[in-house]
Amino acid sequence: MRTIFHVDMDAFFASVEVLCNPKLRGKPVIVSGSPETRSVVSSTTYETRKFGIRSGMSAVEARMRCPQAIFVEGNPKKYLYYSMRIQEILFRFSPQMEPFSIDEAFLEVAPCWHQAGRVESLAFQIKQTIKEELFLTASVGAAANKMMAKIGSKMNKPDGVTVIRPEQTQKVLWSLPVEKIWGVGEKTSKALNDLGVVTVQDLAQIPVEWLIRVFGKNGEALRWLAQGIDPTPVKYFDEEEPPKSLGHDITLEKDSGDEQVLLQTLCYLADKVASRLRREQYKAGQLTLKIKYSNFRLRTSQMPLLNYSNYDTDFFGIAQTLWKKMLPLERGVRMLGLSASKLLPIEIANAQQTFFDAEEKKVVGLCQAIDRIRHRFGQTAIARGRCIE
Amino acid sequence: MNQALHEPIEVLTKFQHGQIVPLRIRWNDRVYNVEKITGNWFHRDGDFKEYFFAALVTGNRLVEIHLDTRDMRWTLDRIDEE
Repeated sequence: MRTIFHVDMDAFFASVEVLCNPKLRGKPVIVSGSPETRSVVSSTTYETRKFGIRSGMSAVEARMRCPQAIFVEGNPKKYLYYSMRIQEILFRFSPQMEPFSIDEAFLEVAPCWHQAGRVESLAFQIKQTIKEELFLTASVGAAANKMMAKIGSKMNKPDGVTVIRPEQTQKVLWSLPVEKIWGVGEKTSKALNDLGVVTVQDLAQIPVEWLIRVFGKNGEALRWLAQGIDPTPVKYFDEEEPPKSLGHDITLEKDSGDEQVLLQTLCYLADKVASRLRREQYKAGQLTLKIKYSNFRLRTSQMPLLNYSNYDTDFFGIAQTLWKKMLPLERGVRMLGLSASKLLPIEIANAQQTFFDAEEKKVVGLCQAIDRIRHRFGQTAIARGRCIE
Repeated sequence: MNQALHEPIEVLTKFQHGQIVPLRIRWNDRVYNVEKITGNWFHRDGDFKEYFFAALVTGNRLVEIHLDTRDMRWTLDRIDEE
C-alpha cells in the first residue's frame, strides 16, 4: 500500500506577503493584480474569508465585501522563489516529489502504514521543516493515493495534518459531495446532480456500464475514483512530462475595442508563446485564440497550422485570421489569450516537414538570434517593433 | 498602504557568508537604517540576476529594494507611506 503526502501551502501568496511585511500580520490581506488594472483576487489571508472573498473573484467585488482589506499587488518572482525553496525542502524527504502547482506538491515515500505513528510523524516533520525554515504554514494530507492525500490536505486547513489510513478511505470519501472527486468539474457534477447523484457513495453504487454510457471512457475512471482507487503515480522530481499545450493570457488595463491595441497585444502574445515553445524545444500544430469580453463572456476559436511551427510570424498570422473570424466584436475586450497545442518535440516536427524554403531559413535565423539575445540579456531585451506601442 | 516607486537609490551593503546584506538606504536625501530583513528572493533573467529584499527600516517603514546585476544599480521598488 503506497504512502503519499499532499503538501498544500496555506494562502500561499498572501502568506508570503505577510512574511515580507510583518505589519500585515492578523489583517485582512488580498493579493491581486496591479491596482490600476481590473484584476482578480489571487490569494487572501484567512481574515478575509468570513467576508466570502475567494480566489478568482474580481478585486472590485472583494473591495465592496471587505472595504478594510489591504490590497497588495502580486509579485510572481517572489512566489516562484519561495515555491522553489519549498520544493527543495520536500525533495529532502523523497526524490519522488511532484510539484502540482506553485503552492502544492505530492510526495511518495516508502510504504510505512504498518509502522505505528510513522505516517503521522512524517507529515508533522514535513510541515514543521517548512515552518522552521521559511516561516510559512502548510497543510498536509497523507493517504494511500494521490486523490485521497489531496482530499486530506483540504480537511484540516490551515496548518493541519490529516492522515486517511487505507482502511478509512471509503468512510471518508463516501460522505463527500461528488465534485470532490478528481475530474468532476462543474459540468459533470451538474449532470450527476440532475440524475440524483449527490455524494460519492451515490456514485459508487451506480453500475459502471451506465457510467460509461453517459460519460464515455471517463465513466470507468469515475467509478474507480468513487471506490477510492487512484493508481496515478507520483512522478520523480526530474521526470518531465511533455506539455499538452502552452499559452498566455493578458487582461487589458481597460476594456478595449481599439483594433490597433488588440492586434499589438496579439503580436506580443504570439511572440511570447513562440519564444517559450522554442525554449522548451517544441513546435505546435494548432493555435487557439481566446477573447473574454467585458461581461466575462468567453469566446474561443482554433485553427490547425499548415506546418508545425514555433515562429512568432506564423503564430501572429494565424492569430490574425482567428481574430478576423471573431469580428465584429460583441463589446469591449477584457482579456486576450493565445495558446499552442498539438505539440511535438522539434526533432520529430522537423522530420515531418518535407523541406525548408529560403524564406523559412531566414525566419529560423532571426528567431535564433532573438533567442540568443534573450538568453544573455533577458526576456525583455528585444521585441518586434509592431508589438511596441 | 504601499507606494510603488521603482526609483534609483544608494545602498550601503556588506557581504557576509557569501550573501549580500543591505545596511543603509539613501532615498530622497534621507538615510534609512535597515532594522530587519523580512524577506529575500532572487530572479534570473538571461545571464543576469536581480536580488530582492524586503526590510523594515527606520521609522518602522517597510521597503522592497533590489540590486540588478545588469548595471549593479539598486532600485527602491516600494515603500510604506509614512
